[in-house]
Amino acid sequence: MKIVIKNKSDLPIYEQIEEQIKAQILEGKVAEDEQLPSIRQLARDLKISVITTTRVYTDLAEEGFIISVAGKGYFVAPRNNELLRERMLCEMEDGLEKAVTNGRNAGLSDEDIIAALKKFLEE
Amino acid sequence: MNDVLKMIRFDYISVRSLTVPYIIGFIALSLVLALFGIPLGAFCFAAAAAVFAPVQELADSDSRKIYGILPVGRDAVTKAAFLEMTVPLLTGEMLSLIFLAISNSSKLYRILPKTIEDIIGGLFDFSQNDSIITFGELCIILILVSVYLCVLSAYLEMMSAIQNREKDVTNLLTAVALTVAVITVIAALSANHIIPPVQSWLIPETVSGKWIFAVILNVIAAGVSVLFCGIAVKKSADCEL
Amino acid sequence: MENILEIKGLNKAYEGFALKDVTFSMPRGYIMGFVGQNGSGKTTTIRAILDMAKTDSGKISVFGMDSVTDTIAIKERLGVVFDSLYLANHLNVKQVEKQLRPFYKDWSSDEFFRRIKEFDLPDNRKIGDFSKGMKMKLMVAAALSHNAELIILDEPTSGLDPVARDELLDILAEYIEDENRGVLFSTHITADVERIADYVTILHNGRVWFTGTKDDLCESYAVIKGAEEDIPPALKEKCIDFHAYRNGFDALIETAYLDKAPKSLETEKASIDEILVYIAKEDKHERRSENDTV
Repeated sequence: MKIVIKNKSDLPIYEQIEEQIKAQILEGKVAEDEQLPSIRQLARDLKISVITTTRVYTDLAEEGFIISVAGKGYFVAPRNNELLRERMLCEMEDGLEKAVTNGRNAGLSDEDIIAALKKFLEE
Repeated sequence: MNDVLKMIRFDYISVRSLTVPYIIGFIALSLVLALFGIPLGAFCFAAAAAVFAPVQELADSDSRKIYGILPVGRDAVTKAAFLEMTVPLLTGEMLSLIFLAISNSSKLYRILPKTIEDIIGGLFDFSQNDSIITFGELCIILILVSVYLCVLSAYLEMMSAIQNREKDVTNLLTAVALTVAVITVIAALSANHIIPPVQSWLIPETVSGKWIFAVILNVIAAGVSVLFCGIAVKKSADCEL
Repeated sequence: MENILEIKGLNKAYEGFALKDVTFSMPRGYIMGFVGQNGSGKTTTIRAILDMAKTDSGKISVFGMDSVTDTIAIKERLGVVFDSLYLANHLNVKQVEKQLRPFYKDWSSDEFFRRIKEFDLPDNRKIGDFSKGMKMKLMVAAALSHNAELIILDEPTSGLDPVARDELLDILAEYIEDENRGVLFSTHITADVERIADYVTILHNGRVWFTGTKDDLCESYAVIKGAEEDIPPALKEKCIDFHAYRNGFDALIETAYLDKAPKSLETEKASIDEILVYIAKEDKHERRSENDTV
């Protein structure tokens, strides 16, 4: 897993890390059931506060991206996980909504937008 | 290991390389000279006291903070400081007396060329009738000086443990000035025959009297150190480091 | 979880300076940044924790033990790093090890020399010739060699170059991986705290101005900027060091009041540095206006 922290970013550190882990899970770059570094290991590696990494893992677990196994640590949630699936659908809907808005702003007709989408689907 | 010993060991490692080789060198030289009748070793009391002298210097600097960091009680630190002062002084006093005795009895200088032999014999042979001071009197004077230094340094250590260290110099000057004044007055009085000569009333005439006097002086010195140390331990508990 | 350090109602008056009712606590497993201007009372507080300064009132407990009566037992499990070395300058690392070893039951010479090697410290050079960073690492090595559960650092990063500062943060991050340990770390270089600290205590003029998690601090305060006529008087009153200049104003404000702020005002996250500057300036202005009225 790759995490890069930008000190000059407007986003708080925990959000930066959450975004990056989420993206990598959604893109399938980290395998399901893969074990994540422990809260304290991650804090040490990134040289950030333990509270920050705790927050990252708690948030991610709440959103269903990772699961906490008592005594073992944190793992990437399985892909058939209901919550994760919902998340992915949400991401897709967000993306489509943005695409449609952008398309309409550019003056495209609904048919044009559907055609453009089909082209992507064929790729 | 006892906390006081730990502190002494700590200080000893700090000063070891600074003072110990020189003092051992001085003692060795004193012994050789004593064998040839030269009582340089009489200054051993001062030399031995210098073993831990730099600790005072180090204690002035940031190193005092160590006592806030190490797991030792403050009383151990104070007691160690008193022992580091008193024990070398009294040991040095013993050494001085031993070397004085050796130089008095060893006639090794007789093997030296005639002229040197005469000079040394003339200077340091107390058995000659015309010497200003007898061997016994010299020993007592030496003990008096050591005991005085011991009491003085214990007093100064106590004052600096109670007050802050900035007043050290004032305390030292006051104590020394007082001593000089007392000695001057006594000397003046005896020179003008208002009181009898110092030697006649201060130093016992018999050998056994001298021995008892010497023991009493040392016991007083040790007692005063213990007393001052006790006061310092009590008072310094509330001091800032 | 048990607090590794707890300070309650600490008062201490010196001539011209006083700690007033200093109260904060630190749970096990975290790093606390202890920040404030020079002279705000950080070092005095630390000296009180170490029983080097006597307090007028208040109670300090470390590992649940009293800082005065149990000071020896506490120091057995405590590592302390000051900004200057407290050892004789002419000693080398080996002699220092011999000096410190007898004082700690849990002292490990192997661990000490392993750290010395890891930190690249020469063991035959006089420690007086060490650079500031090397001296700091020597003290950290000593703290780690007796298995200290709490490390207290007083201004460890002042005078360190960026590389040495980064190394120190590395060491602390590694140390705190064990969740039974704690670090209290006083500094006026807040960038270090900004990143690694879990908790922050801000001391200002001998009082605790803030204590809590760093995230809380950063979320509770914001810098607000804009044109002076846009800010409602009620909001202006809440500002900390309202600073007006020709083209506008800036001030520090608690985020709780921000929902009353008109859209025309800009707000941005406040860094610890900015917070310190604003509270220091506010103080100066208050003093000036007090003087004016006299």
